[in-house]
Amino acid sequence: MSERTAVEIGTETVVATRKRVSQFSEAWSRMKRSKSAMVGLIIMIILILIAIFADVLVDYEVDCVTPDLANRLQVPSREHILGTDAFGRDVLARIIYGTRISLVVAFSSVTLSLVIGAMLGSIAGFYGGKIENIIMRITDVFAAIPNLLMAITIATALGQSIFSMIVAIGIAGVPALARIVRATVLTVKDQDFVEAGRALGGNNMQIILFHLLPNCIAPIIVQSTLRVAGAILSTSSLCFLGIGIKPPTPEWGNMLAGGRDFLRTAQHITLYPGLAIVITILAINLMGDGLRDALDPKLRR
Amino acid sequence: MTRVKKITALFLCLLMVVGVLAGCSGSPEVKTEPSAASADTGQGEKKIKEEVVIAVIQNPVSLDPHYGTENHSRMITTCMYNSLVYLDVETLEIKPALAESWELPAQNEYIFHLRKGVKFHDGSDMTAADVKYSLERCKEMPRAATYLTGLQNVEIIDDYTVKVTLEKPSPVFLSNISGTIVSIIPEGSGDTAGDKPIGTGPYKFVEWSTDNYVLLERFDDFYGGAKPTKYLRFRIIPDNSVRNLTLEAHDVDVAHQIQNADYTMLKNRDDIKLLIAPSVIVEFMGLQVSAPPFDDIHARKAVAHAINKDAYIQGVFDGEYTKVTSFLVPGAFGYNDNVNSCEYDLAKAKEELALSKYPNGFEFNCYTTASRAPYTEALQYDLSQIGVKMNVEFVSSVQSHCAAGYKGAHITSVNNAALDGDIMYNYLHSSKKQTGGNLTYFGNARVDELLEKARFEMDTQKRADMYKEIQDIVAAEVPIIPLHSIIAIVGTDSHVKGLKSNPTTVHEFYDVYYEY
Amino acid sequence: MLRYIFKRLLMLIPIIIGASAIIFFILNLGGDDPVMLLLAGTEPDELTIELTRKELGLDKPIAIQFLDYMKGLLTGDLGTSWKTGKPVFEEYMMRFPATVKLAFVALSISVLISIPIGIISAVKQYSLFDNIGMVAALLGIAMPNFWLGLLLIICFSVQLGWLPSGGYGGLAFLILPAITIGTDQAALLTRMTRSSMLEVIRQDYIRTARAKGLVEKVIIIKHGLKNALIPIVTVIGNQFGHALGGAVLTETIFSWPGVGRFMIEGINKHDRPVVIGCVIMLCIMISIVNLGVDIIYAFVDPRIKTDMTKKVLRGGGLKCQKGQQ
Repeated sequence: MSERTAVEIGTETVVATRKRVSQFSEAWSRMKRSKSAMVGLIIMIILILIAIFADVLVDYEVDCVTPDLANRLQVPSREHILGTDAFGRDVLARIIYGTRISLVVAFSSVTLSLVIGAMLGSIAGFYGGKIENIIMRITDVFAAIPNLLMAITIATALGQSIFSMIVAIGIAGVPALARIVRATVLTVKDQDFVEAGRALGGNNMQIILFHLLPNCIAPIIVQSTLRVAGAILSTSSLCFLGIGIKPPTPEWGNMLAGGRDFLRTAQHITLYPGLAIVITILAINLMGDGLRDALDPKLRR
Repeated sequence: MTRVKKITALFLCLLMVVGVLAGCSGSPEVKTEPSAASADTGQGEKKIKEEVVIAVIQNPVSLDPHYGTENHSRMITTCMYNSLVYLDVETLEIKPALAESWELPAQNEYIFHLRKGVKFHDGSDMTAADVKYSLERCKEMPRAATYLTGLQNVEIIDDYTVKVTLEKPSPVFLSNISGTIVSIIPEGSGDTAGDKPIGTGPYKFVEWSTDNYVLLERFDDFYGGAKPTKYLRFRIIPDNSVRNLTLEAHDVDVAHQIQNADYTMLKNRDDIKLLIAPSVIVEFMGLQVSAPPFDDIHARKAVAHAINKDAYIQGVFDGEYTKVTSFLVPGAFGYNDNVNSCEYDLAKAKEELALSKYPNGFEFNCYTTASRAPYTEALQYDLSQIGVKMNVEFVSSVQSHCAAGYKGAHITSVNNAALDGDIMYNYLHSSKKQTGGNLTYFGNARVDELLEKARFEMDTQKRADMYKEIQDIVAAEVPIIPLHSIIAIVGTDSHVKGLKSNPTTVHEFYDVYYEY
Repeated sequence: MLRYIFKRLLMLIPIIIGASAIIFFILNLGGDDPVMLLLAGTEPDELTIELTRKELGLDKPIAIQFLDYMKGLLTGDLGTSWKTGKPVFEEYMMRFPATVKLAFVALSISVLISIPIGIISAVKQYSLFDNIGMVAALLGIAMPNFWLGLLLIICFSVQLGWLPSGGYGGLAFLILPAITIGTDQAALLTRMTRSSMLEVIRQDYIRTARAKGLVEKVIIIKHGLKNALIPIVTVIGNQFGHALGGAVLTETIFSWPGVGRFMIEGINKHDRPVVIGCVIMLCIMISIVNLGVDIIYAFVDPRIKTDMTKKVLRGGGLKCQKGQQ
C-alpha cells in the first residue's frame, strides 16, 4: 500500500465519495419500494408542516391558552371537533400546537445527543486504547441510569422549560448514540479512505470529521430516527408526570395529565392527545424501519 | 411491508378508538351493595359496621406525632393521641383534654392539673412524667419545635400536676399545644414512636402497610369512652379520580378531598353525602413592594381592582370557594369583617392605572406553584383587560424562590391552622423580609409595632383590636391581594355519621361510624 | 466461573459510585434551597428551617455532604429519607414486594404473548398472521404505556366496573397494571423473537435437520428456538430488570405502592437520599438480572461460557440496554 501514490489514494477517496452518493440514491429507491416506510414518511412530513404552520392554523392566544370557562369539558361537536378541555379550550387546537412543541423538543434533543454522542463515539473508536476505555467507562455509568430517570432528574434540577427538557432528554440519549458511533467507527477505521485522508494531509480531527463519520452515516441515521421516537415518548412521559412543560403551554403529555381528573366525565381529553402520540411515534418507527432496511445491504432481499 | 399492513394498522387504530368511544356514551354501572349487608331487624334496630374505610391522599410521613407534622400524618395521629388541651374550632375555645384544668399563677406560668386514670395503649398510666418528657422531646424535634418556642421549663409538681414556664407571656401558647403535634407520649418511648406508636387516644395502632393503608383499632380504655367503630382503615389513594371511583363503588366509606371536577357529579346522588367545609387556607397574591412596578401603590390598587374573583371562582371552582378580604378567615381570632379591601371594579382599576407610573399598562412576573395553574390563567385574563400583562412562572417552592430576591408578584397561601391573627407576623413584619415569610418585603412601622405588641398582649379585646387595625392598614396599602379560601370537600357514604370536618383540613375521624 | 461472577460484581462498584455521584450533583444544580423545597407547603418558620437544615446535614458544604454519603454507602447504608427520617433501604424494602409481584406477572404476560406469536410469525413469514402480529407490535411500541393504562382504566373500571382502578391487593388490582407493563414489553419482545427466529431459521443446520427428515415442529422448537433464545432472553432479562427497578408511570397511574412510585415521590418531594437510593438499587437490580441471564447461558451453552470469560478478562464493559418503562 505504501507504494501507491498520493494521487492514486486521492482518486480512491473521490471514487469512494461518488460511490457513497450513488449508494444513497440506491437506498432511496429501495426505500420508496416499501409502502409502510413511505406512509411513515408522508405522515412525518404532514406533522412537520403542521408544526411549522401551527401559528397559521390556530391562534395561540385565543384557541390554546385563554380559558373559556363557560364551555368547559364539551364533548366533540361541530364547533369543537375534538371537544374542549377543563378550561374550555379547543382540544384540536392544542393538539396542533402541541405538535410543534413535541417535534421541536424531539429533534433538538436528538441533535444534542448526536453531536455529543458522535463526538465521543468517534474519538473513542478512532484513538482506541486508554482514551477509548475512559470514554466508554464513563458512558457505561451514564447508561446504567435508565433513560427516563436521567431525564426526570435533569429536568427537575433545571426547572420546567422547553430548554431543560431538551437538555435532559438529549443527555439521556448520549450513551446509546456514542456506543453505536464507536462500534461503527471500529468497523470502518481500517479502511482505505483513512489512509487517503492522511495522505491528503489532514490531521486527526479532519479525518474524523470528513472521512470517518460520513461513512458511518447509515447506522447513525437509523439510530437517530428511532431516538426521535424515543424522545417524543420521553417528552410526553415527563410532562405527564408533571416535570417539564406545564400548562397552559399545550403539550400532549400534560394534556393527558390534565385528563386524569376527568376520566369519568370527559374521556375525549385523554383519548385524542394520546392518539396524536401514537400516530407520531408509529410514523417515525415506520420510517426508521424503512431506512434501516434501505441502508443495510445485509437485508437486501 | 404491504398495503395490507397499512390498512390493518389503521383499522386496528380505528377499532380501538371506536371501542372506547362507544363505551363513552351512556352512564356507567354502579355497584350498589355496600360491603356490609343491610340488616334491619323488625324493631328498627340499627347496626354499626365494624370497620370504616377512609380514603386519604398520601402516605403519612410518620406516626410519631412530633415528627409527622403535616396534614396527612396528623389526620391519623388525631385518632391516636391527645394533647393537654383541645381547640374547639367552632367557638375558638380552649377545652380540657388530658389536662382537666389549669391556672396561670403568673402571665408566663401555667399549672396543669392532669386527668387521673388515663391509660396509654400499652396499659400504663399517664402521669406528669410523661407530660414533661413529651413537651421536652417536642421542643427538640426540628419540625415540632416551633410550637413550643419560648418554652423555658417544665416542672413536675406531683404525679398529676405539671408547671410550665414560658420566657414571655404568650396568648397563643395554649392553642399551639392544642393540636396533635404536641401530643403526650409515654416517657422514654421517643425512639420507637415512629414504628410502634403509643398514645392515649381513642384508637390504637395496629398496622401500617406503606403506601397502602394504616389500620387502627378501637382502644376500649379511652378516657372519653369507647368509640362506636372497631376498626379504622385509612387507605392511601393518591390519584384523585381513583379515590372518587372507590367512593362511588362503595369500596371505601369516606373519601378525603373530593375534587371539584367530581363534585358536581356526586352532588346529586342519594347514596353519597358531601361535607363541604370552608377551610382556613387562604390563597393570596403578594406584591413585591420595594421594586417596580409594585412600589407604586396605584399600580397595586389597579391590579387589585382588576381581579374578578367571582368569575374564576364560579368558572374554575364551580362557585364552591369563598372569596376573602384578608389574610384571616372569618373564624379566626382578630378577624376584621369590616375591612375595606379592593373589590372588583374595572372602572376603578383603570382609574388607578391612570394615576400610576404606567398609565399604558405594564408587565410583571408572577411566581407560584403549578398547582395554582387552574386559576392563574383566569387572573392573567382579568389583568389583560386593563392592559396589564402577567407572566406566570412556575417554581417548586415559592418561599425558596422569592426569598432570594425577585421583582413582581407571587401567589401562595397562608394556613390559618391556629385560627389566630398572629399568623400575620410571619408575612408582614419587616424583620421577616426575605428570610421569613414576608415575601412582599413589606415594612410598615405601625404594623410592626402592632404585631409585636399583640404577640404578648394577654387582654383579648385589646389584642383583637390590634389585629383588626393591622388588617385595615393592609387593605389600604395593598401589599397583598387576598383571593379565596379553598374548601375541603369530604365525600361519605350516606350511612356514615359522626364525621367532624375541620376547617384546617385535618379532619377528625375518630367519631365516625357507619350505621345501617 | 466464580472468578467471572466476582469480576462482574466488582464492576458494579464504580457504576454505583458513578451513578450516585451523577444524580447527587445533578440534583444540586437547581438554585433553590433544598430545605425550603423539602418543607414547601407546610409554611415553615425560620426556626423549623434552621433545625431541619442541621438535622439533615445540609448546613455542610456540598463536597462534605457527598463524602459523608459515600462513607455511608461503603458501609451499606443507603442514607435516611429526608421526609420520614427512616432508612432509605428499609422504606425501599417495604415497597419492593409490590414491585416484584407486578414485575413477575407482567413478565409472564409478556412472554406468554410474545414468544408464541413471534415464533409463528417467523415461521409463517409474510402471512396474514405475521402481518397482523407485526402491526400490533408496532402499535404497542408506539403507544405510550401510560396512555394504555388510562384507556384500560376507562374501559374496565369506569365503563364496565369490572376491575378496581387502583390500589393494592389481590388479582383484581394486579391485572390492569400488569397488562399495561406486559403489553409494552411484549411489543418489543415479539419483534425481537420474530427477527431472531428468522435469522436462525435461515441457518445451515436447520436445512440439514430438514434434509435429515425431522418433523418441522421438532426442528423449529428444538433446534431453532434454542439458538434463537439467546438474544431474546437478554431482552427479557433487561426488561425484567427494569421492571424490578419500578415502572414509574404505571405505578403512578394505578396507585400501586411499589418502588417506582417511591422514587417519583422522592423526586417530587425533593428527598435526595430516596432518589439516589432508588437509582442505586435499580442499577443493582439490572446488573444482577443481567448477570443471572449470562450465567444461565453459560450453563446452557459452553461456547458462550468460554467466550464470556475471555471477554471479561479482557475488560469488556457491562451491557445495559435501555428501555422505556
